[in-house]
Order: sequence, then C-alpha cells, then structure tokens
Amino acid sequence: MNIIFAVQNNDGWDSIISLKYGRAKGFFCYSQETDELTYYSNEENQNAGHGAGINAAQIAINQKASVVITGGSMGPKAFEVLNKANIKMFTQAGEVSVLVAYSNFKDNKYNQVLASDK
Amino acid sequence: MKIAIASGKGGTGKTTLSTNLAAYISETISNDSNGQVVLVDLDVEEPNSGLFIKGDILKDEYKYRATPVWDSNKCTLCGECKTICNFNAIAQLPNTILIFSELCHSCFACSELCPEQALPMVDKRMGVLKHYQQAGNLPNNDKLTFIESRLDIGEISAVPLIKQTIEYVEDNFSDEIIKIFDSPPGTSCPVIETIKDADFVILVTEPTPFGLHDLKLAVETVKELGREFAIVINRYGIGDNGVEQYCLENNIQIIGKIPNMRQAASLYSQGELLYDKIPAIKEQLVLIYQAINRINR
Ligand code: SF4
Ligand code: SF4
Repeated sequence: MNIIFAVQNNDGWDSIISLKYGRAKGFFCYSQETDELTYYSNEENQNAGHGAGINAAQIAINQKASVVITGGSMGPKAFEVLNKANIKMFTQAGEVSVLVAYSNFKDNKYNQVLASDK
Repeated sequence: MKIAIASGKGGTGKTTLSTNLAAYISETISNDSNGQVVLVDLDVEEPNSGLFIKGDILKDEYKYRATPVWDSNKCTLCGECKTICNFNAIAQLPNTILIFSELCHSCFACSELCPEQALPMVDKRMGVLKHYQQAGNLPNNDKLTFIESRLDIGEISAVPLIKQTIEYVEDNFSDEIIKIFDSPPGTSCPVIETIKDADFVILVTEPTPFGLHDLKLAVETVKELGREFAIVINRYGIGDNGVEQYCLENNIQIIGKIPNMRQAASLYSQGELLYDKIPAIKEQLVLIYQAINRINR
C-alpha cells in the first residue's frame, strides 16, 4: 500500500506534517511494499490561484496511493477527487513528524474523513 | 465613450461615484433629444449599483460560456487534457476524467488537443444580465439606462461574464453614447478586462496611507494598459495629503474631491443618491463631467 503524507519541509521521516493539503509544500509517498520514502515537491502548486487541491489529489492518484494523511484540513475539491479515486483521507495528524504520523496511523489513532471541511 | 470607474480595492466609493455621476449626467442631458448615458455594473461578483439606481426591467437574459464535457466512449485515458489545462480544472482518476467546470476558463485547449475528440465544448450557464430602462431617480427620465450582470454562485472566473456584458453594451449602444463602467475592485484579471478598452479611467481613492498604497498599484495597472486616466478623491478631508502629493509629483490629474460628510454616509446606507441632496457633492460631479467632456473632444 502507498501512503501520501502532506509535509511542510523535505527532511525524510523527520519532516513535519502540513496542516494544509492542496497548498502543502510537498508530499512524501511511502510504499509499504518496497519500504521507500519518496519526496514530491508541490511548491509550484502552493501559489496556484485555484485548483491547488485538485492538483495535489492528482499527485496522490499518480502515485497509486491508498491513503492520504494531512495535519488539519482537506478542501472540497481535493476531497471530491480523492473520494472518487477511493483514496482514504486522514486529517487529524497535526504538526508531528512523518514517522510519528505513520506510527499513529498504523495504531489506528486517526479516523477516516468522510466529508470535506466545506 | 467608455469611462471605467475603478479603484485599487473595494469600499472606496466606486459605486457612489458611478451611480451619482451617471444620474447627474442623465439629468444634465435631459433636454438633449439624442442624449443618453449607460451605467454598467461590471462588479459581477457583487453588483450593487442597482441599490441606488432603479428602473423598469427591459431584458433579463442568462449568459453562458463553453466548458468541456467528457465523452467516456471516445476517451483512451491518455492524460493529455489534465496536463494541458493551466487552470487545474481537470483531474484524471484511474478510469475517469473529472472536469471542474467552475475552474475552467473556457480556453478550449483540452478540447482542441484531445487526440480522440473526447472533450466537446458545451455551453454552461454562468450568470444573468439585466437591462433596465428609465433608470435614475427623476420622474420620466428616459436618458439613463442601467445594465448589471451577476455571476452565479460557485463560478470562479468573472472574466467571461464581464466580456460578454461589454459586448452586449457595445452591440446595443453606439460609440458616442457615454458608458460608465463600475469596475470590480482590485487590479486582477476582472479589472483588466473592464478597463483595457476604456477611453478614460477614473481611479477612486481615499486620502489615507492605505488608499495611497492601493492607488499606486491601480495607477501601475492603468499605465501598463496605456489608458488615459485621472483621480477622484473620495471622503476628502479625512486622512492626510499623501495622495495629493503623489499625484502632484507624478503629474496625475485630480478631477474631483468628494467631501467627507456624515450625511453622505447615512444617505448611502439608505440606498439614496447623494448629488441631488448635497450641493457640495453635485459641484464635484460638475467638475468631473467637465473633465470627461474635455477628453471626449
Ligand atoms: S486528452 Fe482526450 S483521450 Fe486523452 S485523457 Fe483527455 S479526454 Fe481522454
Ligand atoms: S477549456 Fe481550458 S481551462 Fe477549461 S478545462 Fe479545458 S484546458 Fe482547462
């Protein structure tokens, strides 16, 4: 399974989870099968006028993610795209490291988001 | 003649000036059998000139713009379209293309470049245009026409509706008729669409440091577009003389100074025009109209 983490910086497992999704600085994709953690920059998207959430969702789809984890919110458009792509969303991680977020996720500490924030 | 009334940000008196100037001009030309003035509210996200200018509705029509519709039978899921779209309006799921028509700018790129012709453009409603006659506050005033467009809720781009509204005005009223465009606030695409073909731009500002800051941005925009322009100071008397100094140093003409008066604020809040009740404001409109006529010649 591939898991996407929205992050504020590019520092491997120590990177801090971003509170925003569409306008996160970047994403890490962790593949449980290969145990690889790969960074994807989202900086171009950070300044997009509209549709940042759609683009960010597209990154998750392209990486064949099953799960997306953010620190605080998920916009309506990103939600719609991810939901249609059957990608599960978890938004309560807060500003912790990717490592902590991953272990919390594995321990079932987060609830799946079933509706967008707006 | 097209006169755009704009400002660096909202709430500086753009609508006050647009509505009062239009009504005042319609009154001064009331004896001229060919005279006419058209007020157009192009602040389509929040049109509010209509609160001050009423009239009999003549026409009420929906406006449409083209957006792509996905044809699943033809699509091979090549992904071209989502890469082409500059406005993030297209997402590709494993078996589906999702189109967010409210983000679409109707540029036709995806439709034309789709190798399978799987994205035909189809008209979608974006807003409503209303055309009023005998507007204004004078009985039997047939000199003032009022047109406003309102963007549908959820639509993100105001530009196509502004464009179509200006086209409607051009089609229905000849060049020599004075047209006053109440522009959207700010300096982004919707404003540019409004002022790029104007014969004259009036920038409304307040005489405060914040007003000056926004005014400078607006002046830059107007200069870049190569438009002739001048300044009207609203709520003259508050703040400082920074705006006047700036205009002096940069050789920018100030064609009116609308005094700050408590009476004006209370009339405004009741949806009333000001110039027919406050002589000091009418005096300024006289000056502004003279300046317009000088340019018109
Ligand atoms: S460009 Fe055309 S064929 Fe390719 S994915 Fe888009 S709609 Fe389908
Ligand atoms: S018409 Fe242009 S803006 Fe609209 S979806 Fe296609 S490429 Fe994007």
